[in-house]
Amino acid sequence: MPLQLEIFLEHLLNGLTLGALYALVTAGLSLIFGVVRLVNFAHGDFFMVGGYALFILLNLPWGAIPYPIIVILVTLIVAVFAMLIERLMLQPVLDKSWRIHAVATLGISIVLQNVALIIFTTDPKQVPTPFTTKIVSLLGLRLSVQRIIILGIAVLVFLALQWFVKRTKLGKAMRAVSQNRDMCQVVGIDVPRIALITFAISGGLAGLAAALIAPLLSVTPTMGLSLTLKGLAAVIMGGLGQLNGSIYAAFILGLVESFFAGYVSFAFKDVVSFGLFILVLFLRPQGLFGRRIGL
Amino acid sequence: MASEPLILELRNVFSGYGEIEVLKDVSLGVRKGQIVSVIGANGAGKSTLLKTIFGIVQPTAGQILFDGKDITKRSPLEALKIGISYVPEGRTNFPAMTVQENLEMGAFIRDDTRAVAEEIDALCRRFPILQEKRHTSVGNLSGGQQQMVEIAIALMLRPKLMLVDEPTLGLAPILVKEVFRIIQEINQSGTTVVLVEQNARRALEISDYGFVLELGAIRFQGEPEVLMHNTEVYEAYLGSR
Ligand SMILES: Nc1ncnc2c1ncn2[C@@H]1O[C@H](COP(=O)(O)OP(=O)(O)OP(=O)(O)O)[C@@H](O)[C@H]1O
Ligand SMILES: [Mg+2]
Repeated sequence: MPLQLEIFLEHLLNGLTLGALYALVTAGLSLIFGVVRLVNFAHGDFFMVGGYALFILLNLPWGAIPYPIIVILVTLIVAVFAMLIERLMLQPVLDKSWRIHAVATLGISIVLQNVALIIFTTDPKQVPTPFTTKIVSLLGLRLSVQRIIILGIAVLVFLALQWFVKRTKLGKAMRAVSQNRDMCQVVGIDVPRIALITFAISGGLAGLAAALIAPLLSVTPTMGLSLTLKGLAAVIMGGLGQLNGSIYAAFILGLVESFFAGYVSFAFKDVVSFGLFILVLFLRPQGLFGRRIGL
Repeated sequence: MASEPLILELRNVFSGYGEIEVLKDVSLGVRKGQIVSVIGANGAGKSTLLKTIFGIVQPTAGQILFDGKDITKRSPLEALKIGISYVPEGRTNFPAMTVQENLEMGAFIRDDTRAVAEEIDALCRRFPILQEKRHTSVGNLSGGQQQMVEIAIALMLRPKLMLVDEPTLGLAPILVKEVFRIIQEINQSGTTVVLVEQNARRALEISDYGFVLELGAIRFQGEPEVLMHNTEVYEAYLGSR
């Protein structure tokens, strides 16, 4: 295979992996915004919490647990963590204005980052899995097994999420809350319970992202911030509250960043993704995929 | 008819929103099987009355009885469970969901999925417009069609008592007639209806009894003929405008 093509395919795979990361984070942000109308500035920090949970589980003193079980555990840990944050800190302010939401979630973000700093210091923690360095050859292409796992699971998770929101009673109730909250009490839908479930799912997605993708990065206390910002950019590019639109936008961001970093400049890749975001805001303020009511 | 027992009774009910007192000493009775209209000017407290019965607004004093049992302090969820459904005023559906899904949400508190599916089939047979638009997003329907869906949502729990707030607001005359016909049909199949209406004459025409609410208090009550021949009521609410 010509070198040019090989390099292109490598950037493509990197971009898709990065897109999967952004998309898992974005999907959670989008669900929370869609259902409870809250912009969760601590969402990237859920990913960070998952990163450290992964670090601990990979380094247990009594020996390693198999990686697939670790993935499930990290997902569950962050899901429960997000539920606790919702119940203890956000539920009391859910009816308040967006300003109070912003202050509350930014406050949570700062506290989480500083607690992580105290416990784990600023040293980046490496979290390699048995698959991080494993390579398979496919049609003359050398592919990282970890990246293949990431893409495969991401696609499955998005299909499952789609099915959940469209077809199940709970998923429909989430859409109902997002479309007409007042009407929910008229038909007996328990809005606080649906909000809690939404946080659990969103946290679980961030935890899954951490368990799968942190092994390609390294874990630091402040890693969540840029993820929150990229995720929010994708939410807005995709059209506020539009789950699928935000997922597509996240993959677009990942691909653009990867190709730009590969062919033009690594240092300026963030400039390009935020530049793209601002461009979309100018040209299509309603989002790339149009406006709809609720989820 | 007058010998039927009371399904709903309010005794000296006061209620409102925090500092704002809206209902002032309201006492009324609704007999089982009837259609009862509540008429009154804008801001008289008609919607507040329905919200208080359903439990969205809690009374600050007084007593509410349903089927003879005290239900004064109850949540909307409990009201649904004992057989009270509520169709609020305005557009009150889930606009980006289909007719089918809106009806499913009407049955959210029921766990018998299969029976719910049959119930929806039955409703669609009864009201052909629901069948025709079954898989269309409700937000894309006309105002009258949306009102139909909203009434159908409230029917999903087979309520004993249905509270309906201004179902004909903003509808074309032909649709107004249709909505009133449907409310009569629902009543004939056994549901007691409390109907709040601006369209006082039409409402009284299909009612067994009526209340006139003024500034949060019951000012007049009686059979429709009695109210229609009361000069004060006639001039304030029924005279041609
Ligand atoms: N959520 C609320 N908070 C505070 N005050 C309210 C609220 N809802 C209604 N009110 C006030 O209570 C009074 C009665 O309102 P209500 O909606 O019951 O009147 P209504 O008879 O239904 O009027 P309309 O014909 O306009 O629907 C009004 O003065 C209104 O401003
Ligand atoms: Mg009203």
